[in-house]
Amino acid sequence: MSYIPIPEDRHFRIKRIGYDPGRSRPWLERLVYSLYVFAFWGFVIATYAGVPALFDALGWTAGWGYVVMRATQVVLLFLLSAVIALMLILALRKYLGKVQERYGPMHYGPAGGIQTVFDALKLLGKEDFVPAAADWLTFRLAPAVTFVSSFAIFAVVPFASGWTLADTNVGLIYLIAVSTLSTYGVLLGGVSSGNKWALVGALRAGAQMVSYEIPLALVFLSVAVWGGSLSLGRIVDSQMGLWNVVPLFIPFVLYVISSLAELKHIPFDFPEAESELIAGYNVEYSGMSFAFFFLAEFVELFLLPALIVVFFFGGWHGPLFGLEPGTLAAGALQSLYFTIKTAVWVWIFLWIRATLPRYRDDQLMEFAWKAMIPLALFGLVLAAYMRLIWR
Amino acid sequence: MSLLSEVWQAVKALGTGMATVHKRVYEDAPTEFYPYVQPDLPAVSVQSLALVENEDGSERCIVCLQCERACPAQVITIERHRNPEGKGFLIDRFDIDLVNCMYCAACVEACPVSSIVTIQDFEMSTYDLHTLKADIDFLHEQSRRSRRWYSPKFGVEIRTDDGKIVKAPPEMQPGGLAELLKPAEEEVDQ
Ligand code: SF4
Ligand code: SF4
Repeated sequence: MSYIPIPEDRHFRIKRIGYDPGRSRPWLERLVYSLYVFAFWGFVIATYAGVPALFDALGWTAGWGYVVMRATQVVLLFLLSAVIALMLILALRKYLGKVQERYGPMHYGPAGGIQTVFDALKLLGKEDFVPAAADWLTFRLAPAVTFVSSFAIFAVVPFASGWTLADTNVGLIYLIAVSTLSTYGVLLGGVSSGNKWALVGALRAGAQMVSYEIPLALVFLSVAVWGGSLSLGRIVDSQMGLWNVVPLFIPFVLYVISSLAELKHIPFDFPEAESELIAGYNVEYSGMSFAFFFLAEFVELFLLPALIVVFFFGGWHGPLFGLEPGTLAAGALQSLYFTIKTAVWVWIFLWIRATLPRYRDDQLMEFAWKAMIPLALFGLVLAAYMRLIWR
Repeated sequence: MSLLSEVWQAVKALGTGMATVHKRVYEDAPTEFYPYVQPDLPAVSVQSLALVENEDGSERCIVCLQCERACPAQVITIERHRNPEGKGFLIDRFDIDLVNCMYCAACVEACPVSSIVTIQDFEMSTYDLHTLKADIDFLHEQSRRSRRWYSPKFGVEIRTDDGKIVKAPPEMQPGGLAELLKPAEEEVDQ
């Protein structure tokens, strides 16, 4: 009669890094996730005030020194976009968990605070696989196109007065041009995968994003007409007394709807419709290629709400408590206002995502062409008319 | 006007939905923290089997083969020989194949001395199925491990907090609950 010992691994041993339920406290979650907003704020200050101050101190302000400074800022912004993506993925998962009466990620870090870092490490360690049926070059290029077109929007977003990489006088046109590019990434990625789900997802993405670019562009035009400039900085400046959301209410609503479509978020998530298309256009992607699609999506989830704030909610405007505008302290305070307004809008986007079901494809197109575009045109004419009367 | 009222209806529905969703954020999740907090299982909970020894450590099983006969999955294998000094039998082999056992507790019902019992150890997952081909030592070990769960004559008596052994209420006995419910069901039938 042989004795069978109870094996060691029969019972769970609580890991040191693991979760203990006493640590799931709502106040802790709120603290951790608000701290992330402030971490983001610190990153913005370092990028837009710290780097120029450093280069000032070094005396490299002209010629190549200026170029190196801008390049440093761009590298920092790239890091920032990665941080944003990590934070927003975490926030999305946590928020959806809360809404669905789950806890969301909670095993790594306080209140699950560093879960996505581990996810990113996992993605880094995965094999980056190109299927045999795929077109190699296009397949490899598509994530880059998607990410770059989202990332390039950063160039014109003003975080505080003067805190922008390029306050060009064609900022809005640049925005329209660059944000349209991300459609190409999605289309190319889906078509080159050699997979029917990806193809259907890409076709849906093409139809949807091209349709919703038009109301988006018309909304940009209304904002430009009312603000009297194509430069984002001056559009924010023109909202000194009254935020644009009041006079431009119709364009504002249209902007929210069409940016949801741009984001490929619920209720407009046809390109990735998990329940029908598995993951849509990115179904064949793995490892870091997939991560770049993800990164692009979540950077856009930050940038489009940020543009709502810039266009309709007074950008960085807020009480300055007697600080001299243009100083570092004033800039920091302004970027804090901007960050908090953006965080609120990101939350509203997540909230919409948690609430709504998915549209039907033909309804989506009908809505874009029969309701959104006429309304956007009406809003544009209204903005022009009001501009004539009141300004 | 109907278009406007439709839009208003839609906006109202949207608002209601989003408000409902937001209320959920403040509700507690019903998640159980299982590996960290042991779940509270009911008194009679068929998770695994064990073979109980008497308080003094002697074998309680009288090797009557009732359980082997009752087992619908035929996973109990018992071998016995006659006790040379005295009456009754002694165990040669008592194996239960816990992989193929379907935890119906028919053997528990059949056992005249409440020797084979159900216990609440559900953490039986393993990488090696052979660890679930339980022999008598394993079953005794399980009963010792789960001493805090089982009562001296399982399902018939319980140990009170001060260590006394009293008759168990019917709802704690295997099958007792069904017997309690029987009259009610008959009334429904009539
Ligand atoms: S629980 Fe049922 S299947 Fe399992 S050993 Fe007992 S009688 Fe057989
Ligand atoms: S029915 Fe009970 S006493 Fe009889 S052989 Fe099985 S475990 Fe032993």
